[in-house]
Order: sequence, then C-alpha cells, then structure tokens
Amino acid sequence: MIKLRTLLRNRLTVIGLSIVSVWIVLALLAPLLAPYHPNELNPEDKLLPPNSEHWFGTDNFGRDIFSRVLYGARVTVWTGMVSVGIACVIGIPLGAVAGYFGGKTGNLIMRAMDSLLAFPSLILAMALAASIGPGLLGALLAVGIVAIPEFARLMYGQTVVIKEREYIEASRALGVRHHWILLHHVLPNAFGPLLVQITLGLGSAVLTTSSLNFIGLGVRPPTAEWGAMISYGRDYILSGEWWMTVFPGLAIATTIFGFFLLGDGLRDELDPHSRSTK
Amino acid sequence: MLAYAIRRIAMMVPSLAGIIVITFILTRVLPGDPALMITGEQALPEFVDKVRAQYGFDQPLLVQLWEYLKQLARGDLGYAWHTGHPVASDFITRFPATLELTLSSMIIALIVALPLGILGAAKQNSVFDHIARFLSFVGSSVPIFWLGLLLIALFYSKLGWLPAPVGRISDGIYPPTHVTGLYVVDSLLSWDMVALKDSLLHLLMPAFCLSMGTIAIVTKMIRASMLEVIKQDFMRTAKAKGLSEMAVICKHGLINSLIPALTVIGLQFGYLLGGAVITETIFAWPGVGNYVTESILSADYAPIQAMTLISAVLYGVVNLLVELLYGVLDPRVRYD
Repeated sequence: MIKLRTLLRNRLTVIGLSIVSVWIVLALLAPLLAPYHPNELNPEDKLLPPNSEHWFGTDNFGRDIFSRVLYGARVTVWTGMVSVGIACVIGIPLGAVAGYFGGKTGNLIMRAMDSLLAFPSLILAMALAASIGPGLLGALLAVGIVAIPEFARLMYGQTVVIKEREYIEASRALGVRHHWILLHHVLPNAFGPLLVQITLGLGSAVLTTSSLNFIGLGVRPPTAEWGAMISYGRDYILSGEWWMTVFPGLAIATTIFGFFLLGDGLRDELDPHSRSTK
Repeated sequence: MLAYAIRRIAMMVPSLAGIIVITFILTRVLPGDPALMITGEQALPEFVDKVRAQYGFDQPLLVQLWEYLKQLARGDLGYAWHTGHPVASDFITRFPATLELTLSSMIIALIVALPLGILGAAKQNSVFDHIARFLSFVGSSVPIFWLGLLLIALFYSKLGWLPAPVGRISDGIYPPTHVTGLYVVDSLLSWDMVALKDSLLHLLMPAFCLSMGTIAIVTKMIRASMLEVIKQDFMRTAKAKGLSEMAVICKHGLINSLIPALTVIGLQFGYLLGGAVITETIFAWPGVGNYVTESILSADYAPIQAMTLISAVLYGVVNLLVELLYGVLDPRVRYD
C-alpha cells in the first residue's frame, strides 16, 4: 500500500496533489468565492480587460470570466469524476471476470476491449458523443466509454497475476465463493495500479471533455465550461481580447498537469523500477 | 517476415470485424435516433418515420447490420448532406491535407524529442534533463486547441511572422501541380519555390501545435529507455573501446532505445488523427479533420461514422508497420 509520508517526499507529487486539491476546493466553494453569477449578462461591461472589479476580465456578453472559470471547475471536476467512474464501474469488473475465469467469455471480453482500443480515443469519443446527442451527458458517457478498455486491460493483467498466488489457492481450497475472492482478495491487491490509472484517467478525461466541448459536442450555452469558454474566445483573440482564451486555458492546463504529476508520483511509489528511470 | 506480415494482416480481420460492429453500434444501437439526426430535431414525426423507413432504421438490427456490411463492401461510406457529395469522394479530396499535417507534425516531434530525450538521459539532472522532463509534462497537459490559439495570437496577430491561419496556401498563390496532394512535396517536384515557401509557412503553426503531445510522450519514452540502455554492459564495453561519448550514445544507445520508443510513436498516430480534427478546425486546414468538425456542427452523421471507421483501420495498419520495423531496427527480433 502507498504510505502518504513516503509519497509526500516526492516534490513533484506534492505539487500535483496541491494543484488538484486547490481546484477541487475552488469547485466546491465556487458559489461562495465567485463575485458574480457565471451567467449574469452585463452588456455595458462587455470585453473588459482584467481589472480590479473583474480579475480575469469579461467576455462578449459582459459575463465575469473569473466567476465562469470557478464555476467551470465544478463542471470539470464533475465530468472527470463521472466519466472515470463509468469507466471504473464497467471496466474493472469486465477485466476481473475475464482475467479470473478466462476461457471463451474472458477471451470474448478482451477481444471486444481490443476492438475499442483500435479506435483513436478522441475520434471514438466524438463519434459516441455525436451519436448520443448534444449535451453534457453525451460527452460524459462518451469519455467514460472510451476509457473502459484501459481499466479492463489493467484489471485483466492484475487479475491474471493475482489469481495464481497462494492465498487465492488457499481461499479456493476452503470453498470461498468466486465473487468473494474477486471482491476481497483480487480487487484490494490491484488497488495501487488502479489508483494510478484513475489519477491519470482523470487528467485525460479533463482533456477529452474540454476538447469535445471546444468543438461543440458537450455543454450547451450558457453553461460555464472551460473548453466551451475557449471556443467563445476564439473569435476575439485576433482583436486582442486574449483574456477570454488565456484564463480558461490555464485552468485546463494546470488541472491536467496536476493530475499527471500526481499519477506519475503514485506510479513511482508503487513501481520502484519506474523510479529508477526518473 | 513476409509470412509474419501476411499472418498479422489475417489477424486484423477479426479486429476489423469488431471495428465495423462497434461503428454500427454507434449509429444504430445507442440512444441517439439516426433518423432524427438526418431530419433534425424540429422535423414533423411523419417525416421522421418516412426517413426511418427509407433508410431501413425500422428493420431488425441484424438486417440493418447486413445492409451496412453490404454498403461497406461496395465502398459506400454514405452521403454527406452538408457538402452534397458521397463521403468517400470528400475523403479522397481532403485526405492529402490531413496526411501532410500529421506527417509534418510527426517529423517535428521526432526532430525535437529525439535529441532532447537523448540529452536528458545522457546528462541526467542537467539543464537538458530538466527541460526534457518539464516539456514532457507540459506538452501532455496543454490542450491543442488552446496552444493553437495562443500561437495564432503570437505569431500571426502580434508578431506578423506567419501568414493568416487559413488553409494550406495564401489566396494569391497557385497551389503546385497535383502529384501527391501534399503541397510541400508537390512544390518540390514541380520546383515551385514560391508555393513551397508559402505552404511551409502555412504548415508550420498547425504542425507544431499538433506535434506538442507527441513531443511530450516521445521525449519521455526516449529518455526513460535511454536511461535503461546506458546501464547495459555493451555500453560500458563501447566506452572501454575508446569510443567518444557521442558515438557511444548515438551508435549504440539510440538504436537500442528506439524499439520501445517506436511502439509509442506508432500509438501516437492515433493521437495525431484525433488531434488533427481539433488542429484543422482552428487553422481552417481543409483536411478530413475539419470536414468532420463541419459534419458535427451540421449534425451530418455519415462522415463522422466514416472517419471513425477509417481512422481505426489506418491506426491498425500503422501499428502493423511499426511491428515490422522492429525487425529492421533489431535483427534479434524474430517473427514467429
């Protein structure tokens, strides 16, 4: 298991954990911290550069970008958690069953996962989101479904190794049921690598969701979402209104950066071999 | 190797079957109603029913799958409503632009990532190493669409160093004589230096933007595998023979660290295809990616479905080629 103290000795991991924690806190406290409602229109204040009243400036409708970035964090945290949650809930049991029981069912499950992995992930997510229909739900499901095979493959690999250990053999000899073994022995022992995958998966989910929102597959206006905000700002960047694009972009980049640093740190902690190449 | 290649191509058949079934599921089984996608959400129910019957969406799923397979076997990828052309012909027209963009970004990525990864590993904990590690984190964290807009704001709007981010060549300049469809190659073949300079300038920003993610991951991979290789006995022997550090690293280190990196490079092709959709949208690049975004915005489903299918097939082919390249790089690799 991962010891928090050891983990916190890695400077980059601490930076990653801090960035992620800050965004989660900002997302939770957005209604308290945001000086304006994210969708409040003020046409007389439109396209104002950053100033003391509007720290990140205003957009073409006069909406406060700082407040929209804060509320955007809620959408991002929510989409990341739900889509990775979907991937875990479906992918982990599929991988565990395929690895533990093997045979034709296992083979069929893993071939289906391989077929899903044959698609470039962003293109598959776009096709899924487009076929499910516009809206945040479509994007969430799409990003979640695309991540399923990664979790299934990881869990499959872990299960194949863990099921050969003596304690599993002993449990079987004692007549313990398969589902109990899977839940109480296999899953806890695969927890570490899964945690790394979840952390890295959250970063990827933020990137894919914001990309989908940028090209118009995702939240509907006027919802404050970082990818969609950059998309609005796109028409104004040439005329010098950089703040509409720069701040939401920084928010996306720092969040992903945080998750990737954290995931890398966790992997170093769990796999000393990978640490030797750092 | 030939026998292995044939066997691997044969092994792609079940994978292709899986890809086709998934593409079919995308349109016919998921909650979205394909008839409604064609008619639009505001259409009268009678009209939607008519379209549903016309396209066979009211038939049992297996019948629909059979019809879909027959359609694909004819090379029919459907009809794009928003352009008024068959999807296959739209793809053929636009594919060279996407190919030029993805190939250029792969070349840029390798030019930047290989030396950076090697230097990072050879001089561990030096400035180069810090740059390599920083770039590999930042490159994978920065969204392409954001980076693209920042590049436009800086190099076109502010500094004026690069042409307007619209298309592959400036309005007043004739495209080179069509040979391959890749403007840079065609300009060289027809020795059209004006078109060459202009198309290179147009290519620079989108190709760099698209290459960022690949630079990050390839730098990381080369650095990590080089660090492993440096510890091997043959590297020590090479040094003991009196070879210079440069020769040891480049001649013995690089070739041995390329195999793991090559796998990543192959996998990056899928990332580049996905990234091309975003990059082409930002730079109004007239390729397949931009076409797919236009299709999304006009709720035209056939091109999206076709892109999904074609990209999966291309991805599979590229990864097969990468696997075959292992044997070229390392003669010890046996294709059993």
